[in-house]
Amino acid sequence: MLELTLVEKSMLFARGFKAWRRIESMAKRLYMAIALRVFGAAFDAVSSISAECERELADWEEGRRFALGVEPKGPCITLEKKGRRIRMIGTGLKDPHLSILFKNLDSAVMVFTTYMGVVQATVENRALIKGDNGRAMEVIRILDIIMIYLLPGFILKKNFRTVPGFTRSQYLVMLRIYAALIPALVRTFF
Amino acid sequence: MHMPNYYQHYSPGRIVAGYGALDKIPSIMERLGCRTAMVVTDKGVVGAGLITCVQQAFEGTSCTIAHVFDEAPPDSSNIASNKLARLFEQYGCDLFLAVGGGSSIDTAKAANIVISEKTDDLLKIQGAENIEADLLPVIAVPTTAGTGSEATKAAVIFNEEKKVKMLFSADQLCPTVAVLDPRMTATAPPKITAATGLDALTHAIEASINLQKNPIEDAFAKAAIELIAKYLVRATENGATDMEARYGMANAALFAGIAFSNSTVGVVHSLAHACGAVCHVPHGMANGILLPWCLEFNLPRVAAHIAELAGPLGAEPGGNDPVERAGRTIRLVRELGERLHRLCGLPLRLRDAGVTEQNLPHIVEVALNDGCLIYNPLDVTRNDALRLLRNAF
Ligand SMILES: NC(=O)c1ccc[n+]([C@@H]2O[C@H](COP(=O)([O-])OP(=O)(O)OC[C@H]3O[C@@H](n4cnc5c(N)ncnc54)[C@H](O)[C@@H]3O)[C@@H](O)[C@H]2O)c1
Ligand SMILES: [Fe+2]
Repeated sequence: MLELTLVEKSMLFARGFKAWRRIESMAKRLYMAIALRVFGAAFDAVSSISAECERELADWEEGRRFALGVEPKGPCITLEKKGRRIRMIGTGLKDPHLSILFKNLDSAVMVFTTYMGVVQATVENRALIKGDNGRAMEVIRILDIIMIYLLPGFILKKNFRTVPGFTRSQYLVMLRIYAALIPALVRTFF
Repeated sequence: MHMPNYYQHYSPGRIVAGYGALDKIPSIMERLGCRTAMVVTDKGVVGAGLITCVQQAFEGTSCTIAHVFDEAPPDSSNIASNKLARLFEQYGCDLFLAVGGGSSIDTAKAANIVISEKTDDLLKIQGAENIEADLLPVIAVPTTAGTGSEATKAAVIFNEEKKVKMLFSADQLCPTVAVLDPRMTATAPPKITAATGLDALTHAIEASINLQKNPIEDAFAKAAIELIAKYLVRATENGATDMEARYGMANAALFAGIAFSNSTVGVVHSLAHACGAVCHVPHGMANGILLPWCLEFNLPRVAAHIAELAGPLGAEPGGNDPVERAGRTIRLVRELGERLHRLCGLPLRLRDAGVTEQNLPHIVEVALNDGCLIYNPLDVTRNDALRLLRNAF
């Protein structure tokens, strides 16, 4: 049933003030700009190491581009398949074949703070797709793989319909992914 | 009653239903400020004499039918829709009058996108909630009681190049008016009646158990399931004369359409779309075969939701254990399929519906890219999808 947490109640109160609303919106934009870049780096790190990702990418044509971001005119990144990995090629929409865009900042922040899973965000009609829906499913499957490797178990349990069990070798892959994430982050931010 | 923290319901279309409802079409057009209709249909519907009924309704009125486009292909297609859009403009039409099953109605919806988005190719406007323009008015006259497309904000179009079924969804795609006239479905042969009826049943059941389940859609879905349990066998057995059964089924398909248009469908439809795309299994037939297996698959997560459907399907009251009661629902669904099989030879297995074992891995890959999977209660992996297909094979 619908029940507000203390944090939600306080937010509702604070939003009664115009200045707060402006600060909040700026903070969310900044947060999303950073979070999207972190995800850009995560795509790079995970795709270069995980075998599950490799299998998913096998059918992708070279140079396929997709964008993730926030409508309208919110922060956004474009990624591209290069070789066996996915690289972020910049911020903004750079002629993507497919865009997955959240309808507003609030929805995007909920997903990128892991407050809400991708499935629940879709169920609540919070995103729109421009381009081939089949390709969107392919991106979502890779997004799932990334989250499974990078997020702690309790978040996965909350946000995923079925949480796959981890084998010992997958834990090793996870460590390699964390190690690869650092240079990928450096590349994306600098 | 299941009440999610959040849900949406949108069902803007006018519904005109009853014996003789067809005759109201010209006055409905006038009220919409339209004069010149493009009829969208297929050769089977024309052959059944249904377009003549529609033309008769226009006699002596100020509205006209500029052209009858009878080339809607099974499962619609991007190429037919592009062609229809060009003809619509050449003939100076101002309204689509779709008369047919889901294939005809969806062809009209897709051509409407092409015209209103001012493009030359439907494939350029793919996506979900991606249509920005206002669409032209559409009057939908369903001649099958199945897809519910007359009241849904979806269109399913076969992509002739990639050989996949594309799903378009946007609020504007909901037809302006749905006209239900039992005369229009009376000519449907038993096998088509049975298959399309199982499509409607699948809409109602998937809408009642998946992640967008909500109280409004539940009400529509349960009413649809009750009507189907009461009338589908009768409509299949005696459809040419049993107008009560035809009218009941027309309503059932519409209610189920409204329900799933808002709470979407799940794994049954993803697999059925893929069977349709890869092996051209008729949509309702594929759904009917897959439905009981997919319910068993989802049962561990949504036993209580499945259990609620036993009553509407005709089970006697009783039984507090949700898993047991859900099992009853699934048995009733199976029994319905078996009765229809005995009545008209509707296949119970994919192997009898044109699928070969070699097709299964390809069907899995196509199904995994179908957007309906997101709304299924449980995640569906490659292995799950293959197992479900093998079970139903
Ligand atoms: N838009 C939606 O919301 C939605 C929902 C579910 C399915 N669909 C799509 O709809 C399509 C299937 O539609 P359908 O099941 O209604 O079948 P259909 O439109 O393909 O028709 C099947 C056959 O029945 C014949 N027919 C139809 N009505 C008849 C009548 N009254 N008398 C004699 N013959 C008749 C047609 O000529 C055709 O040969 C699929 O592509 C499916 O994916 C769309
Ligand atoms: Fe359907």
